[in-house]
Amino acid sequence: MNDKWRLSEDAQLSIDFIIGFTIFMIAFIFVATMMSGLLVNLQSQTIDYDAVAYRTGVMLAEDPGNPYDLDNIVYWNLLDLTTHRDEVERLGLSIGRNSPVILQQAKIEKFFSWSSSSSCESNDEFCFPADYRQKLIFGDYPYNFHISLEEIESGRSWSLGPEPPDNRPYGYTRRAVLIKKPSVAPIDAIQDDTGVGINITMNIYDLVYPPAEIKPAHQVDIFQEDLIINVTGFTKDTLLQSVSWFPLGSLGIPTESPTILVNGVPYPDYSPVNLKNNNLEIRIEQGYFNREKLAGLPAIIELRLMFDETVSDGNPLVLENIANPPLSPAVLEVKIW
Amino acid sequence: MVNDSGQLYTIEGVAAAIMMVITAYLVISSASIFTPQEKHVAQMQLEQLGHDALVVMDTPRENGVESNLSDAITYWRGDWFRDNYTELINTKTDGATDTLNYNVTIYYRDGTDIKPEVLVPQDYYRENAVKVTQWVYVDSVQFQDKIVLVEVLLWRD
Repeated sequence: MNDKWRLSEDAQLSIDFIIGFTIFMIAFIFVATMMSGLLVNLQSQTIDYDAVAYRTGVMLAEDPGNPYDLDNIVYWNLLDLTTHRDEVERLGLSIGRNSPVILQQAKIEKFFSWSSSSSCESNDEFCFPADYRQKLIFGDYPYNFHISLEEIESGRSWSLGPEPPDNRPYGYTRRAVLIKKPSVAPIDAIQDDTGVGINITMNIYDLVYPPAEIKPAHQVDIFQEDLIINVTGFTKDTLLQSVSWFPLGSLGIPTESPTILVNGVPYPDYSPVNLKNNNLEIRIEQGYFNREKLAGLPAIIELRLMFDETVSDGNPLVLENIANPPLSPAVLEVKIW
Repeated sequence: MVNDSGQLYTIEGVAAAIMMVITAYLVISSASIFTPQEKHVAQMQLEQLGHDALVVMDTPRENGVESNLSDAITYWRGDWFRDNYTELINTKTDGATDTLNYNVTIYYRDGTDIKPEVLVPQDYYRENAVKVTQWVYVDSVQFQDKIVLVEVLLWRD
């Protein structure tokens, strides 16, 4: 070969180098593009949503909320939200710290009374979503949420907030729970006997300090829950004359009478309603009795219902023997997005 | 003067580059990062729900009566168990029904042996399952300790 005609190779890129460099650059770009995809798993928000949903489910099903103080009289579900909104620190539906998955109907009713209108602050209801974010969901990120509860046997349901939008991933948790309902004391009117009154005695000591052998799920709680006395079986024309407490005027028993209903309709003024074939219901509402004040009362108090007809054998009935809080299975769902 | 020493030939260079790229691709694609919770969340939800349902079934509906779970074991009624448990784990609040399935084994002590006995049979084909257990007091002479271990194997069909 004639060196004279040969081009000098100084300061030139060889074809090998160009090919090698090109392949390297392609590979480099390829890997660099893939790197961002690698980190996707680390910032996955569904994990976070699931964790928040789990935490919210645990709080609702296993925590009685705060304030909750057996020795004092403060339960969050008894606070009037128009004036005590800030005192409700945490929302939980369980009946107590040692009774997970047993929810209290009184708390459920309060929890699911909400409104998203701007006037909610001046009503006895929770503001959606601000109050729930502050007292239940927590966290700095403003999570959206949907909470629902359905009784399995009756199909009765409660819900809070809108469902998550379609195609939007959400964190989810579901809990199987029992709802502890207000205690019911069913009483059968015995109209062919001699007594014109039905007397129901309550052992205050047992109500304030329930015996340890009765599990919390089965205790009659007249402080946090309604107590329903249901008198049925009237076969004759009968009028209710009066409802009163004995001993009268004791400290701590309100002077106003409990709510009286006939077939579910309130009769506040003893207006003469013929009870024949009707249900008489005396509803002692949550918060009617004050635990702290009752603790100092005589051991036994008596609720006396007087009629103008014979209704019983005259012997007093013992509340603890006849009242029973029904438990009803239900499903609680939490969705967070 | 250019010579061949210390140089890759073109075809070798291309082959080496392709092999490097493939290797890099295989390594990177197989090393996707799993955070510990990620696989765990679905299983944890299942465990939680399964255990909740056992606790609900083990709570007597009234003071002084036996729980549904205890009754189902005492009278050895798998159908009673099934009626309760299926409803508890599969009901959803929007009216739909979930597709969880399960089988139930009871473990009890007999003499010095631990004996398993199937209360609710259900074929299991190696789906991704969790086990939930609950110690249950059973007031029945057929179990010497009156305490049995209920084990539920739970999976999504």
